[in-house]
Amino acid sequence: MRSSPRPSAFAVVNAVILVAAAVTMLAPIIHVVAVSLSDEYFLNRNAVSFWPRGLNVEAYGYVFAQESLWRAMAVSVYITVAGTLMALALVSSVSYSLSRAAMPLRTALLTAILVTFIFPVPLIPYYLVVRAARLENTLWSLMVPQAVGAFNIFIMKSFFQGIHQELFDAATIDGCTEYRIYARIVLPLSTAVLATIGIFFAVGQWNMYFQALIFIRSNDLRPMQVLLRSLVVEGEAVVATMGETDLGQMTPEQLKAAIIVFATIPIVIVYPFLQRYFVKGAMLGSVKG
Amino acid sequence: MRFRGIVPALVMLAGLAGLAVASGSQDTAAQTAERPKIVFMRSNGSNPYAMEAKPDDKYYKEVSRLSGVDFSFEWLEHSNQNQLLSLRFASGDLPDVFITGSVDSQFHPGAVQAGAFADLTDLIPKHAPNMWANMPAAYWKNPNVSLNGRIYGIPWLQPLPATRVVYYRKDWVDRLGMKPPVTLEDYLPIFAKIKATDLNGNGQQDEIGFGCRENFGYSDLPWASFGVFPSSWQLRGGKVQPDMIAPQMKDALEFWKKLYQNGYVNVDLWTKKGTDWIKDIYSSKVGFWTHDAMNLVNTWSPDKFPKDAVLDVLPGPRVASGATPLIPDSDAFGGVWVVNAKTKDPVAVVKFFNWMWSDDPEKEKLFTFGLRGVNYTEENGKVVFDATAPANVEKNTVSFFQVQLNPKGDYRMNPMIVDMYPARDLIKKAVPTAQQSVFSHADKNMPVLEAIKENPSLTSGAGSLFLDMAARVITGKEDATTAFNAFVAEWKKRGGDAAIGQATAWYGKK
Amino acid sequence: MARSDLRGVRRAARRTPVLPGSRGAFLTRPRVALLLLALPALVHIAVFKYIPLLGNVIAFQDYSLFKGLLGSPWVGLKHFVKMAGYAEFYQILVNTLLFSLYSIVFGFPAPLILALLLNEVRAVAFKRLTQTILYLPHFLSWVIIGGIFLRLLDPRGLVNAWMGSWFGTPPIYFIGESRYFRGIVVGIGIWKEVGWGTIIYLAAMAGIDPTLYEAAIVDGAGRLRQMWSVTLPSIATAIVTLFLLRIGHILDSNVEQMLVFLNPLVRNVGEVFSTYMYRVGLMSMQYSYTTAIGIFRSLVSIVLVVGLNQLARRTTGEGIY
Repeated sequence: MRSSPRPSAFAVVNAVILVAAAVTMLAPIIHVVAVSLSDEYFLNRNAVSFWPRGLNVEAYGYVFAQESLWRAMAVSVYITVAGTLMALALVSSVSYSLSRAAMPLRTALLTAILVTFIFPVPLIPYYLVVRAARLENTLWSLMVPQAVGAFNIFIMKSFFQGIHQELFDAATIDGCTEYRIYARIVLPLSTAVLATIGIFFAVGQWNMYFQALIFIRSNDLRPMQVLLRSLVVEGEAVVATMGETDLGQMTPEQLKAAIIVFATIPIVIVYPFLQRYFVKGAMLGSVKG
Repeated sequence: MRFRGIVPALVMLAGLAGLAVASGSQDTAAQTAERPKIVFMRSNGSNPYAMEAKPDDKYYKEVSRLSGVDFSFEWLEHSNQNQLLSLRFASGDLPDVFITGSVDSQFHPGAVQAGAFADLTDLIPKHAPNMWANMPAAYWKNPNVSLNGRIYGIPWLQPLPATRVVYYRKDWVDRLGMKPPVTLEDYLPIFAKIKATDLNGNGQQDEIGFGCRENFGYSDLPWASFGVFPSSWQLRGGKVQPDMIAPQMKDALEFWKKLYQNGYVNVDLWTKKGTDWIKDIYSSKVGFWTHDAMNLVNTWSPDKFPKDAVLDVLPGPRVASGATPLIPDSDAFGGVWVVNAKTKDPVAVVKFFNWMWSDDPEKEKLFTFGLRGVNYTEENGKVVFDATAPANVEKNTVSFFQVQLNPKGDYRMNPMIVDMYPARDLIKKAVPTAQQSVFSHADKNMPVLEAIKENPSLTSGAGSLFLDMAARVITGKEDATTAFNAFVAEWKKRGGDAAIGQATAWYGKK
Repeated sequence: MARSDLRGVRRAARRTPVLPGSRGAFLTRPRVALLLLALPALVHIAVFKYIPLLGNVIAFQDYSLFKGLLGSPWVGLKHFVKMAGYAEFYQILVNTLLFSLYSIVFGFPAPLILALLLNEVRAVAFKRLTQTILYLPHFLSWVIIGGIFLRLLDPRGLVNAWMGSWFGTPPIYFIGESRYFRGIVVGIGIWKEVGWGTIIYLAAMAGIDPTLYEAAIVDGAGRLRQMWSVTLPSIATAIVTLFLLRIGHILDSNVEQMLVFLNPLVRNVGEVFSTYMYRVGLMSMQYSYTTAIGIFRSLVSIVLVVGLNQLARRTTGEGIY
């Protein structure tokens, strides 16, 4: 291969730059973790940077005892996972069809899809359509309306087109139907693109705020980000409920930090497992639509 | 092939969640057979209990039991309530009764004309005699409640006729050997000493004289001493004009600038959220702040502060006339209930309000003390209520049933309960103090002007021309006179002149 | 085509499968299958994209909540005229463009450079770990990121504490200073997305033919030289495509990102189209007006992308469509 075995000056400089970049990414996050775990005495003196001082886990005790936070977490996990699976099913099937030359009206449909990528969807008509579809105040309203994205279709379609056509021809001659080719040949060959698009979509689902705000009425069905905003940004009354004495050794800012960490934990847990899929992601080699 | 195992598990999870949702909705549907069902809707006020309330909440059930209607509530997320309400109007899907700022609010323009609200003019005297007799008669004529002589709204009452007072840390002022301030000038030396002394003893110079919030929210101290207030309008030169363009406003802003440049107010007041503001006050970083008297029962209850803290209240700073103005006075209601024109049984709604205005002792106890056995107990027929008990403190439950849940008004100051709060003595002082701290103004009960509906940057709120100018002046980024004059010209040009014309015409008709 | 012919073709199709793309009857079995596979998503697009898209007509109406789409009066271009006549329209346009310019000048090359560096790492474990960390901020919502950075940049926050102890500077109210505002918002945006942005480039780099590098080594090219002469040209298509897409969004700014940091002290530099639309929509429910602004933004994007695509085709021979 092209690299020499001993580390060159280039490799060292390169590594130093990358480590610096990684530290920049981590530092603010570590600071929040340190705040969430520190003692009030040090917090009031502004003496906490990247290591907790006077270890204090009360904020987590409080957060873990909140049923509403767990519920919101469950809703978020659900709409992320189920929503992503649904989106992948819809996007991959249409992308497969559009990737095949035999697809009738192919160019017209692609153009029609491109139009949705360009023009904005105004709020009121969007709201009325979701309502008319009877999705309002159900978890479907957080998964269905945005499931099919033009951008994702184009990426996936171009990936499918990159699969060797001889495979399809051979399969067709063996008597495979299009459904079978799609399910048995194309999908298994496409884990990389499915994982990548899935993660793109899942991040949007996990961080969903506005859509949940307008479509969800029941307290029980609110995802994490809505609750998070009420607690972290607007949570006046929440703080007002817990004065000095109720808070014991924890400060409201520490509580905020703990809630932020709580909402981030699932990502940190899941994400090393997913990484291998999108690091591979050779499929995006051609982003040509 | 990690995906393989995940998919069936997720499908199961989906099924379970679906079941849970479905069974929840069936429960509520079963009981509606006989009693009229009334669904209320309002903002949750960021109240933690309201934010988590379920459709079969125990407080709804108790109201249903006592009132004989099937009572429930729907809560709108507080900070986006206007937008959410507006969307609900667009869809035409509204509950039976909901709260708005005014029957002619800019968030649902044309609602009355479009027949969206039930006309209550005849129903109220007939079916709600208690309410008709006991509500101050003037309230029915308020333009937020009635339009063209027809009544479309029911006022939701504030706990006090006036609410705003100056709060301060008396222990700090005592330790500094100072006397409580009387005039606005008296505040300055105290602020200076607070800034220079490490009163909270954390070794940092982080004490602030006057604690302020973004958009001047609850930051009322200096304005009225200059005869102005950002949101109020006065009769000047035969025209009703907003205070923000009056020359005295420039003086007020110069004073703010002095506060800012000397570090007597928090430098981040432009972005300070309510949460962080309260936090600073609790952790002994603020000497003076302005807020509502009734919040002594929860937010400013002494048990929320460090043990050595001593709170006290003051009226607004005294001016030459001897008055102590702080904020403009207003009719004592904090919202207007409107009845959906499509509701099945508007008479049942009006009758429900009549019950709310009756002297049913059980109802009074429910909205004052909560549920017996949960929030309070009774011994020998007397209520025993501990405001600091966990069931009352957690999730701000007391405020939930006294304020958010209560269709009549805010019950925090109900005489039945005042003596049971930890802050009872201060409350008794704060109520008359707030009463002394208002001033009258020309735009009392003025409906939202058409010119302002058209161009919201003419107000004094977030994103307004006024606020942007005030920020530049106070932080010293621009010369006060230049910036202020430019602002006045710009404000008038952008539709302010039209607004003044509309305000003056409205005033003339009154 | 006569029915009998059609039946004949179908029968033939059953016996000898029609190869994809082969010409013949319109509704052959594979075509029906392909249509059926596409159907759910197409119905979805029709319902959730096309029907609401038609709602853009409210930009030409005085939309009333009570009269609805069909009953609201038509007002022609009134809202577009109002937009162009808005006193601060020019200021908002300039702010929006400047924000985009900043984030393109600094934000566009950043992931590319980072990807080039990552691509040169040979130690697999180190590469994995670095990537994991670099991607992390992308997964945090703006609420959380706002919470983190407003804390750090507070006059009493960590950044000021450090600057105070190292350089003795008095605390700076960073997000209240117009001159820092763009830098801060764009910088935090880069912080969030730079790692994630490397993915597409890394993927493109993975597809480069290794013999190209071998040839370069034979020619005596060092690592930097290889980067410049082999890696970059090989991923030129991806770069051009992404650049064009980015330009297409020149008038869009992430409203959540802006709102987290926007305040009256910096409104003169920080008010952009998305925040203005949010504010006008929120404060006075002027739906027709905000829809008009949205359409204006889209038209600008289309013109830019089409124009630049032509330009790109002419100069580099590559376009995105």
